[in-house]
Amino acid sequence: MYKPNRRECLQGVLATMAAGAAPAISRALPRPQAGKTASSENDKIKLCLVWGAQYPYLVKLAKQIGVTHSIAGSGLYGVPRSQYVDTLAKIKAQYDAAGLTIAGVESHPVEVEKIKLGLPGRDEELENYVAAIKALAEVGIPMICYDFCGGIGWYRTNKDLPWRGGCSSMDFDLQVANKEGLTKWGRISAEQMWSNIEYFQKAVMPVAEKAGVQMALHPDDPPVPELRGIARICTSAANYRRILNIVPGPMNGVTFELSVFTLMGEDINALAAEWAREKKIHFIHARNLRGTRDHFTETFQDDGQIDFGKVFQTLHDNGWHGPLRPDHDPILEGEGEEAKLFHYPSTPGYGVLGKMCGIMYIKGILASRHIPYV
Amino acid sequence: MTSPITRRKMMQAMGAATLAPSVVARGAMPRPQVPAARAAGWCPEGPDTPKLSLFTPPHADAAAMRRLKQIGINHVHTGGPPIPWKEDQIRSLMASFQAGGLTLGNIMIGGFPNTIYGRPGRDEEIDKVRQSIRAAGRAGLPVIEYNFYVHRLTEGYFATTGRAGAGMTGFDYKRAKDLPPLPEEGAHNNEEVWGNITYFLKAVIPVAEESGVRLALHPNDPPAPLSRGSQQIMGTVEGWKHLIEIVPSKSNGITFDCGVTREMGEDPVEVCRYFGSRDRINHMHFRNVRVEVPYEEYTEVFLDEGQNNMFAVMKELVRQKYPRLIDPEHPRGLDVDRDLSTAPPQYAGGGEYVGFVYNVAYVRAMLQAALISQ
Repeated sequence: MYKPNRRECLQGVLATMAAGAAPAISRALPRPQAGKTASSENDKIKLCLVWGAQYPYLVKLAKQIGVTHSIAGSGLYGVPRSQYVDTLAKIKAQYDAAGLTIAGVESHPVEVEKIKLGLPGRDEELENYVAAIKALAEVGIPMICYDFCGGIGWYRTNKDLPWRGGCSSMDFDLQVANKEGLTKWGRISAEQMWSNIEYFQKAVMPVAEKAGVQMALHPDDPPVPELRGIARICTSAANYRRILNIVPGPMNGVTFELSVFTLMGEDINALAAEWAREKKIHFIHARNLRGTRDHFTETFQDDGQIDFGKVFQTLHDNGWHGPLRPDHDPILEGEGEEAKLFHYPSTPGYGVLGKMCGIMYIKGILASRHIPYV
Repeated sequence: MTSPITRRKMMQAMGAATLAPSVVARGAMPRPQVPAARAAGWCPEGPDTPKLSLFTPPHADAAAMRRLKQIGINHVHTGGPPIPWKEDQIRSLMASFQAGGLTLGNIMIGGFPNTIYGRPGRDEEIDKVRQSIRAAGRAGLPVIEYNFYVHRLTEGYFATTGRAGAGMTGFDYKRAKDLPPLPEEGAHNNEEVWGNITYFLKAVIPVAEESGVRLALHPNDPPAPLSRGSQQIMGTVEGWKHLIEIVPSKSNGITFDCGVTREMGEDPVEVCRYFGSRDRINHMHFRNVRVEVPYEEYTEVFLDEGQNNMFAVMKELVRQKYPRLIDPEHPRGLDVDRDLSTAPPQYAGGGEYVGFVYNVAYVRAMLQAALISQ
């Protein structure tokens, strides 16, 4: 098992600094976020969809249903560092022309597998990462939703579970997952993952603080302590507090994924209040579910066990009004026909009509509670 | 990590679902043992709370019904056969919806023009209506809806556009106010039509009461002052109030339409309270509108952008313990519906299934929010 030694760690930090990063002790003040326009908009929750400017039919649908903010993919995979700014500027211009405001990018802007697993070559990935953060800041994209699931991203044991009326949802069963055995990465300990995330945070956060780009850490999904031999650490509020304190600062924050924090067994309302007050919630994924951490089913927003209204109210009462998007939604059966028009690769959790159910349910809840949104 | 749901997989799922419309019955997949949302103290909908319902043709196929179930629709209303209805016809309609997991809550009755115009032959028509009500009562249908228009002034409707070019339904009285009476309809004043409906109600309401069926009279929509030379008894709130006094019975009620209420310049919350507190709302239409000149100039708009405070209306329905159907009717014209449709929409500027996806998710959120706010 590969473990970075102290020298490599230092090299990483030095490389980052050489690349123009701020000193690690930087305590940047909160800066006005890039990409925000009217001040009134700053006081409203920004509802987002993930239908990018490359899908003009869906852009129009988004605008017809009243959604003007978007979460973009950053598109920097495989792009030489020298072209990051140009590439992002083009993407930004595409969205501007489509009339969509980019509220942030999801997920990592560059490749991160070596960073997450602590493999040789991670310093180059980190250099890319640092350059990407600076480029995002330069074009005015204010937030990165990232995760630290090593080797395995979000994971389900069934991505085509028959659900209400014959639509397709997803389900996770730890017992089934356990039978799937180790991945090609073998066993990776929690200690190793902690070391990896520290290395990452120390290299990247100072740059993000200086650039004013919010880093929104998405929890490990599902938040089990270990999945197929790989330890998972973004799995509890306590661990989050530890991570956020590696390089504390206003940009070092959270993607508050309602269902994953629920699965952790956390009191999501208490947590929402705490982190909204501390301005740690840079982004919200709203998704619903039934079940427990080791065995759960994703549901429509309207029939799961999370009372969205209560959480949104808590967030609003504590001054939160950031970007929010419906996360996974079931795929509706009729999507086959509509999809001919959409020209969009619907994948599990990301059907167009299911996403409409999600965004409209969220709008209805916000309107019912007089919580302003745009 | 993601494996796209291929069209083939979707088709397989659809095919399997056709054979066994019940989600649970589909396939041999083990069902996760999950707590019901209700057990978690959430999802406040129940047998005594309002039910979202969509108009569904009498012979909807299994796929059409599944498309409703997926978006969370469990109740429908439909159009009836020619009068007189037979008990087995109503039972078979109810059973065909039940096979798709849908409860039929209301059937529209029609085919009694002589009754409306006070012409010879009305007694035979009324007898057929009475037979139909008895048949419905024996079959267990709770509500029958009817119209009492001399003429419906759809000539004043026109398609217009709203948010990002989405279709809106406009009404302008000027387009239709000078149209002459149609020969088969004639021109009738209110005194005459009140006489005709009184004759009708005195004959049918006692039968409805005995049969345990509630009648719901749809308002005159558009509520224009004159409709091809005829006055409109159900074109004012005063008229609605008079209607329920003709025969004092819960079987003599209205379809409360909060959109039409606003078209007449009235406050839908107050009107809801008036009829709800008297238990005379027997069916409900939930839609929004932007009014330029009451009765004469208005635009039917998206639920989230009109002059009605839709949540206030929903809360009043819940406060009045209204337990029957809510129809989020008249979806707006989204491009996807217009591009897929082979026929013009029912209303100029109107939409179809995807528009209903929009409406249903939004209204369900409001319904749940209203129920827990009590």
